[in-house]
Amino acid sequence: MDTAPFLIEIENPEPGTTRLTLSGDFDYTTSADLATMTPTLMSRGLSVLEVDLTGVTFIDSSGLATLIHLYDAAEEHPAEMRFVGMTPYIVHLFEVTALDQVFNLPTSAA
Amino acid sequence: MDSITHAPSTEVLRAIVEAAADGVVLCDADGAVVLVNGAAREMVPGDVTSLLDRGREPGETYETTLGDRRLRVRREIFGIVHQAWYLRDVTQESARADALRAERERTQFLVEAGRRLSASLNTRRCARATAELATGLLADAAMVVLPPGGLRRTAWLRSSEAGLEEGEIPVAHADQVPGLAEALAGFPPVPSRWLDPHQAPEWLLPAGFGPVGHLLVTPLPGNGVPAGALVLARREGGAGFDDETETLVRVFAARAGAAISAAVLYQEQSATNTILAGDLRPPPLPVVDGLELAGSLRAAQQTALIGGDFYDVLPTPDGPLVTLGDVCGKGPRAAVLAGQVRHSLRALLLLERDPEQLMHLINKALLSSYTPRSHVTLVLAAIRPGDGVIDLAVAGHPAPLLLRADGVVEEVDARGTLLGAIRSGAITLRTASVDLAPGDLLLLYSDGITEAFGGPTGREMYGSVRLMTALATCAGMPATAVVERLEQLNSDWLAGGVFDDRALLAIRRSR
Repeated sequence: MDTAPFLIEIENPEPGTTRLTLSGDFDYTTSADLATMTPTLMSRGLSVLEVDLTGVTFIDSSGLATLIHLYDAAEEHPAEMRFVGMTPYIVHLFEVTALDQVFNLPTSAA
Repeated sequence: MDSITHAPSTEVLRAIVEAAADGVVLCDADGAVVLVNGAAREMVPGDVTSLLDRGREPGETYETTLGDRRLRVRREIFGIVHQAWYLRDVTQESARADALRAERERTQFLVEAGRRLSASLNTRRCARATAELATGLLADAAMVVLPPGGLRRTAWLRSSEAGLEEGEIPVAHADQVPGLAEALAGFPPVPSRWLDPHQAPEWLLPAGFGPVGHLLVTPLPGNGVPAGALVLARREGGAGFDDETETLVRVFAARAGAAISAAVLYQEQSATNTILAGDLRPPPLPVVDGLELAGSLRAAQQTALIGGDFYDVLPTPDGPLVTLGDVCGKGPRAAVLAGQVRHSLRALLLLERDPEQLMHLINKALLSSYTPRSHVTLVLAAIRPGDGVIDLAVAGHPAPLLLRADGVVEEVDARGTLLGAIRSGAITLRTASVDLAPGDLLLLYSDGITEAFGGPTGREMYGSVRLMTALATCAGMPATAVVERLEQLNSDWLAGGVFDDRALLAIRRSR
C-alpha cells in the first residue's frame, strides 16, 4: 500500500492563535511526530489551537490517541482546541468513537 | 665489397656468455662444468653443480630453492657436444605471485563468510557457520564460544577434521584457555605469539588432535556487548599466525560477531513477541445451545507490529458475554494492554454482567492505569439465552451489523465514547437491545476490516457499505461460512496489500 506522506504545518494567523494543518496518513507510523511536538505547542502563550484535518486521508487508533492527547494538553494549558476542517470520513470516525461529543467540531460538519 | 665470413673466436663467444643477464653454466659432453658466467656466479656463490638436475630433458624448465632465493633453471643443448643451463633469479617474481594469491584467497574467504553469515538469523546456525568457515584457511580447529548471557554454563561449537561438535562448559572454565575470559569480556585480542599453546585444556580440542603449536583467541564483537569468542588452534609443526592472518581473523570476527549478535537479538525479540501475542490469540468458542458462534482474527503481517484486536466469549450463569475490542497502538504495549482489558473483563464479570455498567468500570480502570494513553474500543454483547435477545454496548467501536434471515442488513443503533480517553471519566453510551429471530445473525467486527486499503487503486478503503453489501449475500449461511466468506472478500480487496489486525465475530440464532 502506498501511504500518503504525513505533514504538519504550523501557522500563527493572529497572536495567541496557532493553526495546525495536518495532511496525509495519520497513523501508528507517523503519529509520533505530533506527539513529540505537543508540549512545544503549549509553551507559546497559546489561547486558541485550531486543527485542520481537511487533508488527512487516514487516522488509526494511534492517530486518534495523539489527537486526544493534544486535546488534553490544550485543556490543561489552558487553551481552547477546535477543529476547523473535517472530511466526511473523519466526521464518521469521530461519531463512531463518540469524540464528536468531546471535541469542538465545526457546526456544519458535526 | 668482399665479405669474408669468420666463425667468432672462442674469446668472443666467452665474452658474450659472460655479459648475459641470465646465469649460464656450460658443461662438456661428460658433464664437467667448463664455464660459469658472472650472473650465475652471483646467483650461486658456492658449488653450482648441486642445482643442475641432469635427469631433465633438454628444453625443460624447473624451479629450485637456494637459501632464501628461488631460481628458475632451463636445460638446453648448446652446440653439438655442450650442455647449457640457464639460471634466472625469480625470488621477487614468485613472492609477488604468492602475495597476490594469498590476497585473493583472503578476499574470497571474506566474500564467502559474508554470504554464509548473512543467511541466517539463528544463533546456532551463525555460530556453526563461523566455526566451519574458520577451519581450513585459518586453523586446524576452530571453536566458537557463545556469550554466557548471565548463565553459569555457556555453549560452544567446534569445527575440525573430526566434524562439527557441540557442547557446554561452565563459564568459570573459560579461565583455563589463555585469553578466552578476556575475549568473552570483549577485550581486544592479543597477538598469538603471546599465548602459550601448551596451556590449552583438553576440552578445547577434538580427540586425537595432537599437540597445539599455535593458539589465537579473538572476541566476536556484537552490538555493544561481546557476542562470544573465536578460538583458533593450529597443530605443532605447522605455520604460526602471521600478521596478515591475525588481521584477517579480526575482520572475520567482526562480521561473525555482528551476525551472531543480530541473531541473538532477533531470537530474544521474537520470543518476547510470541509470548505477548499468545495473549491475543483467539480463544476456542464455547458451544451455546440454540446459537452458532464463529470468529476470525487475522493479525497484522509484520510480527514486530503486534496489533491489539481481540475477542472473547465469556460464560456467565445468566448467559454468555461476547466481547470484541481493539486497543490503540501496536507492538508489545498494545499486546499488554489488550491482555489487561481481557483479564479485567473476566474479573469484573464475576460482579457485574450489564454491558453498560461494565463499560463504565473498564473506562475507570483504564483511566487509573499507570500507562498513559491506554485507549480501547470495545463492543460488549450480553446474550440472554432462550429468547434470543442481545443487550449491546458499544464504546468507540464500529456498531455491529445485523443480518436478518431475509437478507436485510441493518447497523445496530448503538454508540459510545472511546474508553480510557476522556480524563474526566465521563463517557456517553447509547445502548441497544436486538431481538435475534431464528436465522438472524449479529456481526461484530474491527475497523481493520472496513479500513483495509486495497481495491483497484490500492488506496481505497473497504468501507462499511461494501461490508454491508457482502453481508447481505450471506443470508441463510451458517455462522462459520459467513465469517469465512467475509474474510475472503476482504482479503481479495486487500489483494496482498499490507493489512492491520482484522477481527470478525458472528453470532447466529439457529433456532
